[in-house]
Order: sequence, then C-alpha cells, then structure tokens
Amino acid sequence: MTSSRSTATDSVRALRALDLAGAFPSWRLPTLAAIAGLAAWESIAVGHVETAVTLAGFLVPFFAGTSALALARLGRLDMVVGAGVTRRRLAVMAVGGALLPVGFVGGIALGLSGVPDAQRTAFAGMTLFMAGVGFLGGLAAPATLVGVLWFVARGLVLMSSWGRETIHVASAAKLDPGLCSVSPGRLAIVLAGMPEVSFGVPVPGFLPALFAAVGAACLVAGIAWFERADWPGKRME
Amino acid sequence: MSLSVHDLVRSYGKHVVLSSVTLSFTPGRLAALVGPNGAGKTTLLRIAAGLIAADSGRVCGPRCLYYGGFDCLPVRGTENAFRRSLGLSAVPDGRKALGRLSRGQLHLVGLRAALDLRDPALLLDEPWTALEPDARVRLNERLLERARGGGVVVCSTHDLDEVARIADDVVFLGDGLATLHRREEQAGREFLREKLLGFFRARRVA
Repeated sequence: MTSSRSTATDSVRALRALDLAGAFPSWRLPTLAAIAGLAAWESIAVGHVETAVTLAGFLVPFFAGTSALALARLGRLDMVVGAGVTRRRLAVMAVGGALLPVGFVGGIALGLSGVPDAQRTAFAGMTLFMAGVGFLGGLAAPATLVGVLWFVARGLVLMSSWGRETIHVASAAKLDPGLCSVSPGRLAIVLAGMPEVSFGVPVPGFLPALFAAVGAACLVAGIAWFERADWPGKRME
Repeated sequence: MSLSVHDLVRSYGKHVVLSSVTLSFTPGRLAALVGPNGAGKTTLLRIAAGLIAADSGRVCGPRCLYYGGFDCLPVRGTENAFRRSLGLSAVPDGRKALGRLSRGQLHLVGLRAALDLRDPALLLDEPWTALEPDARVRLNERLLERARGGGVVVCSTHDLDEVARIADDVVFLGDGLATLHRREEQAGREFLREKLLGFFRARRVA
C-alpha cells in the first residue's frame, strides 16, 4: 500500500513539476474546451463532427509537444529529481500530460460522429501516430515545431496535384469500394502528411495499425531518450 | 551514509574534465568544492545527482539533490506551488508568483526548498551568489545545522571567504583531478585561505 501511495504521489508531483516548468502550455485547456464545444454543436446542428475532428487532428502534434527534455536540460526539473521523483516517472507523466487531453477530446469527437467504426478506428490509429511523432519531435525542440512542420506537410499534400488526386480517388471508394484504385503506399504517403484524411476516406485496416505502431514506438523512444539523456544544466553542450 | 565517487571519468568531446576522480564526502562535515572555471565542479555534482552520466566510474551513497541557482526554478506558478511539486508544505509568504521575484529572492526560494527537503544529500552549486550579507549568515547557519545533523552537504564555489569561514573539508578540483583537504580543528581561517590561494596561484588563475 505504501509503495502504491508513493507512486501516485510521485505521479502528481511529476505532473505539477512538468506543468510549472512549462511543459503544458496554458493555451491547451481553453483550446480543448473550444473543440469539445464545437464538436457538441456540430453534432446537434449539422449531424456530423467533421470540422471538430479535423481541427482536433490538426492540433494533436501541438498538444503532444512538451519540450520536456529541453526544459530538463536547462535544469528546470533538477530539484524534483532530487526530491525523489524518478526520471522515468517524469517521462511517463510527460506522455500522460501530453496525451490525456488529446484522448479526451478525440473521444468526444469520435463518440459524437456518425462515421463507420472502421474510420473511427483508422482515425484513432492516426491520432496515436501524430501524438507519438509530436511527442518525440517536440521533446528537445520547441514544443510547437512538429505541429508547424505538419502544417507545412499538409500544405504540400494539398498543393500537389498528386496529393489532391490521391485524396479524390480514395474518397470515391466511399461511394463504391470497387472504384478505389489507390495503392496503399501512395495512400500511406498522403496519410503521413495529412492524417485526418483517414476520417473521410476508407483506409485499408493495416495502414492505421502500422501508423499507430510507429506512434507507439515514438512514445517509447521518447521515454527512453528522456530517461537516459544528459541534463547538463548551466553547461549546455 | 557517506557519498562517494570512484574513478569518475567524464569528457566533453576531446576535453577531459574529470580524469579518474575518487572522493568521499562524509556526513556531519560540510564540504566545499573549489577550482577554476571549467574544472568540472558542476559536472561532478551533476553526475553525483544522476543528472548526467559519467563516461566511467560509479557513485555510491544517498539520493542527492542538486541545486544550481535560480535558473533551476520553474517559470510559472508560486513558491508554494513549486514547494508542493517537491512534496513540501506551503509557507506563509509563498503566494507570490515566481515571475515577480528578483533573482536574489528566487535564489532564496530555491535554497529554502532545498534545505527543507530532509532526505537527500545537498549538492549546492555556488549557493552564496546573489545573496546579501545577512542572508549569507542565515544560509551558513542552516548549512552547518544540516551537516551537523548528519547530512552530506557539498557546496561548489569561487567564494574563498565563505569556504574559509564554514567548510570542514575542501576539495580542490583542477586538471581533471581532485584533492581532498580535511581541515583539522586547530586550523584557522587564514590557514585554509592560504591553501586555497596557493592552489589557484599554482594554476595562474587566482
């Protein structure tokens, strides 16, 4: 009992320390509330939540970026480690603090949507992919870097005739599955640049699973990196 | 429980900062770590605290808390929020936002939290920086109280006056090596000060 209590206490302390160090920016909560509100309004007024889901997907990498390792390297988490919270617990709570709100709003949006289960599962897989890449990429860099890069990637997909054509052809499969002649590789490239496409078009089941595995691997790699990296403090290498 | 390091080696690229450093810090005695800039004082303390890894060697002893000045403090919240994140209770004057405090006040917030944590060995990096004279006196009292109570306390500093005033043990760090000097009861402040100046003069950095 003692150890489980101390584990829970350490988790709370880790979350507090990360928050005070600046890992969870204050714009997140109002943004999440706005998306949840938009999803509720859309489901009542329009009957689907496509805008809310697209917006949530767009923001996932922004939410997942914490700069936790950059903050630790500056020494901002030195004292909480000295107070007995392990680096692993800090890493795990950084993942939790980054992904819990995403899961919460994603759950609301997907729960209210009227799309088939297969597409919901696909979007959930792609969300994990975005979250994992956003977490790993934003660990030692500015927290919003991956989100901005993904914004550019979306622009590239939408500006290229190749990208637009892939989305159009894949969308046609919604009307008649026999019309879909997009190769999985081509669809994977478009999905990597613009993951929310998975919410609007049928996607072969293995692709979201593959992307989800990549996302999960990124989360695990991020935790290991955070745990093992040097935190040089004043002496920045 | 003493804090000891054995054969610690650490390089930054081709520059060897610590070259087979072996030391033991004894509970009950206040230790000072002195040496020229770049000698590896911060590196040694951060390795002992588990914040950076040594290339080789090992650290044995209690959990260590490293505090390296107000840069280590969070950027948001109040002193009390910061203290709660460390598992400490609130203090009556701890409701001010950290962002509104001066550097000296922030440093005191960090030192107060470090000293209030009872368990860990204290590794303080330049603790006397930015403190006014009477705050230094109060800090010295608390450091000595902590050490005399059986804790391990190590302070890295360039302030030879404070070292001469309160240190029981002095570790000279330079050229990748460490030498421990234990002050005997009869050795006065001037004796230790001369030792320190001699160490720096020998390296032409005094």
